[in-house]
Amino acid sequence: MIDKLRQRVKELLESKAISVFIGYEKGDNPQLARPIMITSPDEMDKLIYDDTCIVMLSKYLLKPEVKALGRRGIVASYSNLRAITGLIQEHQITREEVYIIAISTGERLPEYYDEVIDTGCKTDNPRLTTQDETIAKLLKKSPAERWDFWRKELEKCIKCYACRQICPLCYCNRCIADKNQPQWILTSPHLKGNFAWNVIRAYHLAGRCIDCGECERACPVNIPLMLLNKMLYNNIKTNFGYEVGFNPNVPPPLATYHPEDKENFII
Amino acid sequence: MNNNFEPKIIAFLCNWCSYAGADLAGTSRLKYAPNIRVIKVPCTGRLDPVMLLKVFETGADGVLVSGCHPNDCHYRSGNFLARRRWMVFKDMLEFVGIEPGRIHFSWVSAAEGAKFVEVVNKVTDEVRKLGTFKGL
Ligand code: SF4
Ligand code: SF4
Repeated sequence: MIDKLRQRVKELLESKAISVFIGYEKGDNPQLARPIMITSPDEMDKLIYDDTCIVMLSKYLLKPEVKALGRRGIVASYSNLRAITGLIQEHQITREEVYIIAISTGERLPEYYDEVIDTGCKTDNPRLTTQDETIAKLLKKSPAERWDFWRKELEKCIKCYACRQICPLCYCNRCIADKNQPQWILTSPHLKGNFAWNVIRAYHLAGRCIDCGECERACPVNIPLMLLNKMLYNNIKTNFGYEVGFNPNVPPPLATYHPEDKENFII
Repeated sequence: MNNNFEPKIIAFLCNWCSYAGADLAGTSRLKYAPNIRVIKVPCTGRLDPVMLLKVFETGADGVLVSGCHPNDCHYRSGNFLARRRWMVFKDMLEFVGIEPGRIHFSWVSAAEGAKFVEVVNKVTDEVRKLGTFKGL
């Protein structure tokens, strides 16, 4: 499979169909491949694809220095494909400026790719889709018990913003957490600001989070961020029948409305 | 809990309907619970959810957001957009452990002075029952 990928990338670069290819190379950490930007057909033997290719690549499509190179090629697993679809939907990139080689893992793939390579490799990004049970358990508890749970978790946050930096859909150049006139999100690693930060980070991704699990993996203090993301993911699915990352031609659910939306909670 | 507890409630009222409704309650000399602190906003659609968090962060016990009835929004769709946001946001706050009784939304038009009184009294009662917010 890797030969096929290298062969295709080589052809694409040689024919100038793309000017850079975003893929993976071996990293210092044997469990984690490192992203690589390949611009020359001679670099093919660096390119790898295996179970260590976890880091989301789609964010590199947005970097100004990568954008400046011209048409980008990218290898995209299921999660990366959904992220790319989300980025097209939010007008961050156009379909034409990227050439997508999808990696099939046997999942229902979004239709937005140029070609697909079957890897036989069954792992995608380590998506932590098993939160539903914990969420249901938490919801059975009293609000005070839930508060206690989250207080203990959120007190640990050191405001490193790794969760934001790694998220494929967190691309604002000026994040609300960086604005200080007024300071909406307090910067000290104290429960007050930590609470606001973690709630708002997750909420800003409501209906946009593709459930890739990268934020939780990146968090150095192991806050179960996916519980918040997944709760919102499920909420959006129930309320609006919507799942992000499959169709770039519909408006994101929280950027639109329906006159008949439910309002039984309004006095 | 102290029996004399009186909650502090921040009320975000939209300029065009609910604020005028509150005004009408005032000019009609209607009495309502003195627990709300009103903040006028141009439209409920202008409210960033982070503002609702600020309310709790700065020591209030509850929050009320009130705007124009559907189809009456001065900006046509501000309240429709806000309604979706609240729908999701209130569930999220509940999930992190803020009692649903502390967060309220209502539609009050400029002609509904009496409804404004009703809403404020109901919200104040609910928040009073929950007691002071000690979370943050
Ligand atoms: S799982 Fe985390 S990193 Fe991935 S899209 Fe959702 S919020 Fe972003
Ligand atoms: S990665 Fe974890 S510690 Fe860092 S800001 Fe996010 S939640 Fe806080």
